[in-house]
Amino acid sequence: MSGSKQAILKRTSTWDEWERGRAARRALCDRITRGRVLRRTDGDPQKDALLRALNEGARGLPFANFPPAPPA
Amino acid sequence: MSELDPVLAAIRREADPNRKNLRVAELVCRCFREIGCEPVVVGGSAVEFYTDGRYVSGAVDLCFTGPRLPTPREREEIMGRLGKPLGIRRCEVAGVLVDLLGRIETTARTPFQTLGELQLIQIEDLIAERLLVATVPTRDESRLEVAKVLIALVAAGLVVTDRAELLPVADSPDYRVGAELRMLLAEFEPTGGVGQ
Repeated sequence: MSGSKQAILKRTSTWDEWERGRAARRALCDRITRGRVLRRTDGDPQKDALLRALNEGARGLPFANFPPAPPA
Repeated sequence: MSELDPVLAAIRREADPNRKNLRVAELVCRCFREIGCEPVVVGGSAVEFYTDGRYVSGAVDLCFTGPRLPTPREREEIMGRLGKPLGIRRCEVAGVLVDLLGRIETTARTPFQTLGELQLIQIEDLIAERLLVATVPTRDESRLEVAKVLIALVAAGLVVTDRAELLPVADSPDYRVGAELRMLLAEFEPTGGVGQ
């Protein structure tokens, strides 16, 4: 099989295949980001609000450089 | 009750934010494909999906490829069925922001990465784009970290990449970030296996 044909096949993943690779991808990403979730909203307030809610949820992963919540 | 309601309810119950975003993207893409459009996940949300949620941009970003773009009316009608419109091209679907952009811009000639019913922009183009925004107009370390994560995934073989396309895309006049890419590939591939 040619390299390009093989690449095309591998670029088609089922959810199960994607899930099987998830742990390895996450482990490598965590090594590079030192366990942080990188975020970038470019100051978009709707995105900031959504990410703030996620950050305060049960996920337990600190966002890098996450802005403090606005005063109540 | 709409046929979409049970799907949306299941998505709302999804505890993992990354899977939740994936499911929303898949549902939105399915609805646009039903009218003959071909959506592609791009930008920050493509980074998010390739990195399994270790990067978040806060929205699912979709462009369109192929000959058929949705009309503004089709866009609004579909997004109205799925969730709450928040602006001309933005909608909230099951707690996830979705941004509908225009025609896709890509320099890579490789096929899109497909994931279930999703198409993601090619990793070769995404890396060049992230390097570009990390270095122009000035070097931005936080943006560069995002590019590094993608390059590390490629160097480790955890994301399928066409090495014969990766450097030419980065070197192309569209991006001109080949030097930066070579430097980072060398960092993650100390044996010098940068590829063709």
